[in-house]
Amino acid sequence: MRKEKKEKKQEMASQETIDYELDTNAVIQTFNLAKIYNITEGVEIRALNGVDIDIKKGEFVSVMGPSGSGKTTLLNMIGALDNPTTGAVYIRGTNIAHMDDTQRTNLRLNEIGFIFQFYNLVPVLSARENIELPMIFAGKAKEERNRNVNKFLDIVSLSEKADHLPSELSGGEQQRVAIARALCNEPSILIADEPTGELDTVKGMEIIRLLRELNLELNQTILMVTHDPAVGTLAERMLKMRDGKIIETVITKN
Amino acid sequence: MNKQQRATAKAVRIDPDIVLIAENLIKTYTTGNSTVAALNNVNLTVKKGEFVAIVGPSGSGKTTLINCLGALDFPDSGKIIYNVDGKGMGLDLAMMTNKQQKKIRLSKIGLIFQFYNLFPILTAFENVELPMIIDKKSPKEREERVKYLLKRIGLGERMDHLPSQLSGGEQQRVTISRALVNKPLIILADEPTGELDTETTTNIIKIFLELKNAGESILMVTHNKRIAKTADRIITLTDGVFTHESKGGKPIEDIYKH
Repeated sequence: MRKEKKEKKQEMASQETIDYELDTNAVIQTFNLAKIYNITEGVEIRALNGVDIDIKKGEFVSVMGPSGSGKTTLLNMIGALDNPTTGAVYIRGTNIAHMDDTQRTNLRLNEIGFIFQFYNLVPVLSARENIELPMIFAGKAKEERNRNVNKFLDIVSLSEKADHLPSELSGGEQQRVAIARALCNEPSILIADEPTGELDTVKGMEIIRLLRELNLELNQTILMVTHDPAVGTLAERMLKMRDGKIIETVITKN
Repeated sequence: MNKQQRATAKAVRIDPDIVLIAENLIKTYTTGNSTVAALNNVNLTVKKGEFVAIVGPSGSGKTTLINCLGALDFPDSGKIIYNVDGKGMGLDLAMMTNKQQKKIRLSKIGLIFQFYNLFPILTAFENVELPMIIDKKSPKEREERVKYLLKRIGLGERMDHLPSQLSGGEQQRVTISRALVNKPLIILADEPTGELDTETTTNIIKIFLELKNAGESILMVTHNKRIAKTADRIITLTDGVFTHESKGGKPIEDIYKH
């Protein structure tokens, strides 16, 4: 009985691999990705309901949709912060479900840079120390950490506020620290979850312009979630989501 | 005052049983033409092993107070004196060098926030470990301490989980562990149950009461008057002024009874 189950599992796994047509130019690919929450017996919510996306190196893609449409769930799956119920996520050709814990940690620290709506800076650490953090966990030497902190503080134009605490920075400045922190391990993908959600229009646009510069000048691949159409249309390609599905793809003129 | 003068400023002797003294704190904010006093002459003393709750509506100055006490922000005037050696050596935050302030922030004060402020890409273990890494503690010491705290708070089985894989109550338990990791003089909690349902709130307050019974000093600001009643003392903050103080100590089981 047990053996049968095991065989079945293997069969499913191999079938999954066979069924997925991998695009060698893709940085991120998802296949029929679904996340189902069982609220009570017989009642389920499909936060994601079969999502296929394909993002190539250097692309700037936005995901737009109302709250509850599955945007953040999608990002969490791609960033290995959560596991899908079915389907698969491939990052640079590797199925993240097949990664062990060390590989997943490596993925989160080195392959993917995250920025969040609420910045998620460590309040007791200065801007410089916040940026340094992922490099400490990635095991980088002090010299390299210093070099990268200075480089990315300069890129986000915050060199002069390097020793300020988050509480001494404006929301826009905090988000720029978060961007520098996300980039310090030079990830292949930058994932941004509502990066302008807490900012006024002017400050929000400054952040989006900065992301666009990073995209154009460093060829940084960016996947950004937003509920704001003015923000979403600044990407090259906009995926519209509703009820856990992508309902439309819009190629913008950017 | 320059750095040198700050560094040489003398400590004051305070009662060894007192953790924190705040004297005449004033903090004002100017927006446009109007000036708002977030803290208007606030005085506060917290004893060792005491659990103090400060209640007030939003905008009453609660978070400003916590940020000033936690050395994340600075009052315009007034003193914040910590019993830094636990034996009565009082040092005023404003008199400290940046380095001393940093040390206090990292290892003498345990901060807990409403929105947990966990780093989403790190596991529960790593989030708790963080202040010890910054404080340059050895890997062995870190591992022992983090494991001890997470097991004690009931997360022994979830140490390798990411914040996104934990419930709100579990995330807040991670932040409580993080706050305790460097053995602080005091825990400062800003609306620690603000995002939690009633049952989870009760569980978090139970943890605070256990910590208090184990000798920890806790200052909590909240708008939740019911949970505040479990503290030893409840102080009401209104428009930056302490307007009322009462005795608490209500058993956690009774806070939802009328």
